[in-house]
Amino acid sequence: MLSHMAALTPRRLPAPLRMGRNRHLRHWTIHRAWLLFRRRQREARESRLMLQHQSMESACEALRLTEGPGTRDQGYLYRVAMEKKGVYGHHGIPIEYARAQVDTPPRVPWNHDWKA
Amino acid sequence: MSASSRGGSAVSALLRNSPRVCSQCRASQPPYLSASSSSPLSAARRFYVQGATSASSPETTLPSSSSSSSLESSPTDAAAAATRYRIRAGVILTRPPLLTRELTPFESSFFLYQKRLNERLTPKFRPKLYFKTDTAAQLDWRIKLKERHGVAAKDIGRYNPRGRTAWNDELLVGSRTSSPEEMYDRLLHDAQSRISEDGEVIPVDELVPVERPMPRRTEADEKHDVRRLDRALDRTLYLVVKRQLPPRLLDGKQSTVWVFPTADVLTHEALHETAARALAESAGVNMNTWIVGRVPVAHYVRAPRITHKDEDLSLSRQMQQQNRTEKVFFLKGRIMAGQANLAGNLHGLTDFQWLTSDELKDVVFPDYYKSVENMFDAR
Repeated sequence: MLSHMAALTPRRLPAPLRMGRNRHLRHWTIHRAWLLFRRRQREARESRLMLQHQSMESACEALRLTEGPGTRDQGYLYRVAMEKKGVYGHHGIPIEYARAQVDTPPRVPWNHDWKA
Repeated sequence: MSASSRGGSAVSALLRNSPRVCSQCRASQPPYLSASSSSPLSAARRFYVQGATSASSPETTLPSSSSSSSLESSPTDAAAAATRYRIRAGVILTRPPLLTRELTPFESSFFLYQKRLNERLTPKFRPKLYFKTDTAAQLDWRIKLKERHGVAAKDIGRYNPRGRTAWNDELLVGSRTSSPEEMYDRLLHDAQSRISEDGEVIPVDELVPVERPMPRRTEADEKHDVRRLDRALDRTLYLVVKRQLPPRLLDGKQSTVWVFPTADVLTHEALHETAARALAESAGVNMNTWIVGRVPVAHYVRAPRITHKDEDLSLSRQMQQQNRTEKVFFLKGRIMAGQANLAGNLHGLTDFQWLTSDELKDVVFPDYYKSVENMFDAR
């Protein structure tokens, strides 16, 4: 066991990377390309989120200016939609919502025969 | 916002006694405040939403009976009040992606580059720590290590991170070493046991292959079966149903239209209740679904259609009545299990499809798509 611990002493660890000028330039370019890629992904995600928020907002604004249904006054549906009663409660979010994404599907990808 | 400033704004709103105060607050307001106010707010019951309406958008519906005298002087009121929108609520039922997205070629090659750099920087793999001497596991390891040309890592291809050529970590053009499929193959090949239970080396042609993971493209993908839910597993699917157009909307070109499941909002219902009802009435109850929140995520407005052909006033009025405008508010729903079933639906639906957002674009009307496209996910 001690010999295995000794393998982690600084003397036996590999030396830090030494790169020539062109190698280092190549590494720097790859690194910058990765940062650019991440930035584009992040901005695409943010803009998509912004679009979704604007869609919700304009729908809510239209709802606020809507009269009805029936003899309901203007904005009734908006006020009801804004209520948060039970939304964050104990059974507010189903447990199936926590399903994580994976790389390959299961043997039966979808349960088509689920019955209420 | 701190507590003190919140209280301050509430008090100032009460003292100002402006129409922006909601009706309940005004009703519960102490009498000395309403007595001192000069505007006849208590006589004309206005809700807080109407104050903003009169200023900003004259084309929307205005209250007919409860508006005060100052509002009635607006010239656009009469025309706007004629537009009565039929209110509908629908659900955009989504099946979330079950799979992660495909890696781009840049990502997979960057990950291989990083793995190879990591091999250069980490301490050497020590087999003695993991394998007892003269065991089947050690023999197995030795055979596999020899096949990998002495490289401990299984997924970095043929590359020696410790030799004199450690700098040579570039792939040749057209090499598939960094592709995920190639990596799957190598890992599966490596997972085969090379030593039998008796400790004998298994010949290459008698190796027992390891069970492969299922392919990312399913059978429904190959057949392009748009009614199955196990297709396009790395995309979000949306449920659309085929509805017969009512006679008032027939334009002669087509009699059916693809829409999201919708229903009329009843007087005693909130939007999310109507959405759940619309889904149950349209696509059956054998789906494990969840309506996300109570707030609409998108809306579609059918504007009043002006007909120039009708010269007779009464006829045009009739047409106007027939071409009833409508506002459809969509809530977002998630499906966890189950399948849609249109048998016995109450809305005259004949068919359904589970489509990605790209496929939806070709199926639904352009203005319909445009009104909901902002709520779609990126994939």
